[in-house]
Amino acid sequence: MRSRQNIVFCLIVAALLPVLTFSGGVKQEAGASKKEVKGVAPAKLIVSGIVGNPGKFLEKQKELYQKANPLSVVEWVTTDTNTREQVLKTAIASGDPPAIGYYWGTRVNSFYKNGMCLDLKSYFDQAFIDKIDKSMLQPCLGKNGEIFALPFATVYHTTFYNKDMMDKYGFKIPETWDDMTAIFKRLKQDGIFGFSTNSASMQDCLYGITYGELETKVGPGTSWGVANGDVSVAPGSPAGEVIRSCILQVKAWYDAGYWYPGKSGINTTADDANAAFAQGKVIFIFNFSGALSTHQDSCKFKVGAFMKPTSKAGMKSYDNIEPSVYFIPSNASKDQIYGGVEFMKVSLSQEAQQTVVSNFQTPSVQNYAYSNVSDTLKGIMEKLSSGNTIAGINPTRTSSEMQTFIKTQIFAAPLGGTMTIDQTLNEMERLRLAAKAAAK
Amino acid sequence: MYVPLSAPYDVTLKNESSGVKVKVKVKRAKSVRRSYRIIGFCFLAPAIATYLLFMAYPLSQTFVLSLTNWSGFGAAQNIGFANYATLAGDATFWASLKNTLYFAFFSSLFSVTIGLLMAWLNLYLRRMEGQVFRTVLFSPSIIAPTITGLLFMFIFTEEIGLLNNILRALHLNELTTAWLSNLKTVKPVIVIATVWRQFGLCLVLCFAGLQGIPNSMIESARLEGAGDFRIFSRILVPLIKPQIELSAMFTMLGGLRIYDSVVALTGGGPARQTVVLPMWIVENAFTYSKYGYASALCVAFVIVVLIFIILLRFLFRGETYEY
Repeated sequence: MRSRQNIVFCLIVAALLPVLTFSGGVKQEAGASKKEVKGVAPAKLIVSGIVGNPGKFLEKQKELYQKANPLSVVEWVTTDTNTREQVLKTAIASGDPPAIGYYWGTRVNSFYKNGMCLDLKSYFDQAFIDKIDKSMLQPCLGKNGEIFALPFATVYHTTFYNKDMMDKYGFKIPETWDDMTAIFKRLKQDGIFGFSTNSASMQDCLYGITYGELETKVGPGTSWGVANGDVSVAPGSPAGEVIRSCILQVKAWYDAGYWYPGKSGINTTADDANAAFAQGKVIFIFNFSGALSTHQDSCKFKVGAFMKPTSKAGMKSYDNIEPSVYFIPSNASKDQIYGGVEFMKVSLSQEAQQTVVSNFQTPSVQNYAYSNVSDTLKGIMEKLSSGNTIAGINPTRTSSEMQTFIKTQIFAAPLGGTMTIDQTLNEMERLRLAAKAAAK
Repeated sequence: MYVPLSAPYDVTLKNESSGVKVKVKVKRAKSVRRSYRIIGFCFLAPAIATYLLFMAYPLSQTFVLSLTNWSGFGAAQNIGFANYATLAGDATFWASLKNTLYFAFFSSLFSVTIGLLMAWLNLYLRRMEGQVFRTVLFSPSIIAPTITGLLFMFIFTEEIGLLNNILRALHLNELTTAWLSNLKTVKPVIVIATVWRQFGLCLVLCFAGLQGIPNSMIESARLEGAGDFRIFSRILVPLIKPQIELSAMFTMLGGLRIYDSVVALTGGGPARQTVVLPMWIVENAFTYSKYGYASALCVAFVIVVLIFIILLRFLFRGETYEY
């Protein structure tokens, strides 16, 4: 009797197991196909991927869009720098996408190579596309001419400085690494640190010192090649040895105690770094140019910006443009697409672009007549046409794994002693090769 | 001992004339036995359904997903056990597993030890004082792990942290360090934050066990000449072994699942030296869009947790005492 009961029980479990295991299945949805721009703006237009507070120019876009579409309300979904990609991809993959994703232009390829971005080419006429700065649009283009995203502003990694402190000590803008070291050495005597940066999640701001070195010492186009995964960075390779020299220079600054706040410099948050700069504890901060508004608001002193110094005098300095782009998920609904397209048109209007300029960011339409452009922003915008700033030379666009590595480990690992410089370069090379293999 | 309702039961029959008592086993009628079983299954059905729906089904689907290369979008391709082969050679997986086991082991060890000692000390307090102390000591357990992480970040931050400022005020500058960036100190700091959060639960569980021990046992031990520590180690601890096991299990499982406090304290840094397995799973799934590989990591994680539960049961095997 008991054995019969056991047999019946085992049979029930055995029957249920396959049902549980193989029922449901995996989502097979391949994404929405191209839709026409017919529809109505959704009651709620969700724009996801905003880092921190939306800021005045985003609020202006919202105001203009809602004026034109009174029945549609814009809702921001804010994220952290670290979780931005996660939040967007989770929403899209789960079938509940926002109407618009807001992301870094040079890294939006991590979305469109997974089929997550709608091709916008058929939704905008050529005249509209032509007014956008080509260098900012370039990272948003697919291999076959698709337009997967549109930039509305751009930033690039720069070095902000405390103008008042520079004047007080009589320092000139440093052009070489030795100039920087001399400034740091002098300030250390007065208990002031040389520089700070958001090393917890944005070490690529500091990584920018490699671009000028790569372009000069290896050859023009090397930075792009490294970011594209085409150029080897293994120990012993030309590009690898240039990166090694940059790491060694930063290590020298770190070991000498010039990096705020000391040993924790390799794991400092954006808030800590910005606060230290505002409090006059450091003279320089490696940041992205969009942080100018943060520094203008929080600093009582005048803030300036300069391109990163190079190892030798006379070398040209370069930095990476990072357009802020909007894209529409490929599985967005018809109404979301309609609303998204309208929002993008508004974001590139003269009024919206003027607000970008008024808030110390660089607009993506250069041909409008802008008023009240601050001196610092003029200097930043001039760099865009100087040829010193190039989109897509940041290797964070190679792959998501490379992005994590560059942002959190490229300096922290060798400086903190968890990896040797050889191991750091080998890891970077491994990630490069893995990205190339995945692309095939 | 548990006896099902449907089991046969004993009846004692007495012969009136001879006075002889006979014990007879009476079997319930088949229909009665069946109805008892049906009633039993009906009571269990909601729990079984909940377990199947929220535990068994998602776990089975995770296993299926681990055999694919799904990126979260588009069709999933079956790749067999390739993800598991990748896992075996993944240095970050082994490093994060090592970190997870480190935090789980040490946080459990210290939480249970401190909780047990605090519970013992609580026995010596008067009722009111004891209640106040237990409430205060238990309160960290109800704080969210993320908040705990942020609290300890403010204590251990190099420049503005409380600890370094206290050390500087006491002219102990040589002891100050970057607690959250120094490779020697960052992991113990995370353990401290976790123990602070968890030991209250152990205290409450162990105290409940200690309260159930009759005073007469302790008094007779004292009369025999046993001191406080001998009574604690030879009488109290063996008697509350089930509570200690439960505390160890809760804290071990809590340590294995550690995520929020690490994210808040260090973000996985410095240089990703404190990345734990749940973080690596989340990163693979939602940052790198490798849902298949992340599922394989989840399955491996489940196996690790199962191994630890079996180890714990093995460690605490043996007699338990009833009193």
